[in-house]
Amino acid sequence: MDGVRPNAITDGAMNGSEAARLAALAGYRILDTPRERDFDDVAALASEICGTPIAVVNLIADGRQFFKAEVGLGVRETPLETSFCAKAILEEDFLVVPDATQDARFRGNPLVTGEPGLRFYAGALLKTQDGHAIGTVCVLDVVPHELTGLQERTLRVLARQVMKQLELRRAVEERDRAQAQQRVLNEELSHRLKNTLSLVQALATQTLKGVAERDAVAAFERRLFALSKAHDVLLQEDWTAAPISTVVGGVLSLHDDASRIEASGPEVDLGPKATLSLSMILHEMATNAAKYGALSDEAGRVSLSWTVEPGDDGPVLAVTWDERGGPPVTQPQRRGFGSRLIRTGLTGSGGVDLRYNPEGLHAEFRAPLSMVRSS
Amino acid sequence: MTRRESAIVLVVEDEPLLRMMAVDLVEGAGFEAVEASDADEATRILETRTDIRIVFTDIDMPGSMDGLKLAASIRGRWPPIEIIVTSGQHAAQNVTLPTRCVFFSKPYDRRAVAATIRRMAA
Repeated sequence: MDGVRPNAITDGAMNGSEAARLAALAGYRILDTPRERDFDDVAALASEICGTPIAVVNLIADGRQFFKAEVGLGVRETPLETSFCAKAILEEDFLVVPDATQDARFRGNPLVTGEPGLRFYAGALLKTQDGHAIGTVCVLDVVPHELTGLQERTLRVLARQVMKQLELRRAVEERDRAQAQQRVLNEELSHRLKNTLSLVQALATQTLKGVAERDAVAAFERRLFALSKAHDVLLQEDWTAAPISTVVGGVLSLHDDASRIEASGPEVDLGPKATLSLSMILHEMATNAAKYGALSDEAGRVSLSWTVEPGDDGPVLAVTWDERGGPPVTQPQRRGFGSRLIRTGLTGSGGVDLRYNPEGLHAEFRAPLSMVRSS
Repeated sequence: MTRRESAIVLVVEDEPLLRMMAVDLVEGAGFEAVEASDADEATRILETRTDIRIVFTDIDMPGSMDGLKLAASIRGRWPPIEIIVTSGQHAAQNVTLPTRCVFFSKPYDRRAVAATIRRMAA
């Protein structure tokens, strides 16, 4: 090969082994990908600014070079044996060959001695953060050239931009992969959780088979559904936060009278804990309304609304449950588990105002927005 | 389809506790329950008896078929049979069910399932 070493790269070893360099290149998943505007633009600009008919965004793979973008070549891949860039990546970070016929490293190269008769080469390295040279942004011509300072700086900047593009793509891909993995885990977790809740349901119904108080068994089961629904809503949102309207819609969907509960308010994201508490509270409110309150007869209705109001220590989420048109209201004598659960409030520490007005129960739940969002 | 006084419901569920609960549900609704612990057993039962009107099956089961494949197979081989499927893994919007197939997410409301069985048997 007339003085050109067939596999210059294996001698390189300037930044660790060739295997490590190839692994670094493979990590960008860019080899053999289709042409893309982002890289085509770089090649076109390099060609234009350097005044050369050929410009390439070149990646040096194992025994071949892959052109992510090229101007003036018409091919996407060539063997490494005759590659100028394979030589370039042995250099520090820039290689310029004004006239290949005057350069001992290239004068015997078949691309110089034969077609297309290359003379000029300038290439800026694509270098990873770990110092692996994975390719170049380079320009070539069939006549000798000198390179101006601007042209060299342009090639260097373009090479850095290509590298940045590759790094960002990889980062986005890694993040997407991690998120996808997290989603799979969340789904698996949710699946197990729902199966466990089903088993709890089965254990309870089997254990309590002979119990005469069927209402209590049914109430337990419905609370289990409310809990399960809240978890469903959280899973949809990757267990981080759930829009309040989704939480409300989820729990109300468990109730036959949901159509008589009119819900409205601005979109607020609830944290996992507040999602669970609000679900359980609304479940109890709807259950009570159906048993004793506005939903216990045909005419009654419930207005469920929420707002974010200014408070002494920042914004406050205020959820209002307003019953109308039901039977006359009296304060319940006994305070059962349901009403205790209701009084724990949105964040487990109260903030609940219950008024048994004769025309209908009026309940307000208030909590600092910051706590509702984060807890 | 011939009307029977009391339809027979085939319960397919690999988890014994859940199967027990489902059988109770079916019997509590006034129907006779037949049990299978996976889709293959369910298929064998369906191949040997002709009195099963409704199949109530879990989706996530070990064996050669999951509940969705079982449902599809039943719809193809025994079109008159009504099917109810339940799952803790799949959500209603993410499963493609054969026609006339009702889905319940786990844990399911036993009353709602019983009501569906009664409607299907009617």
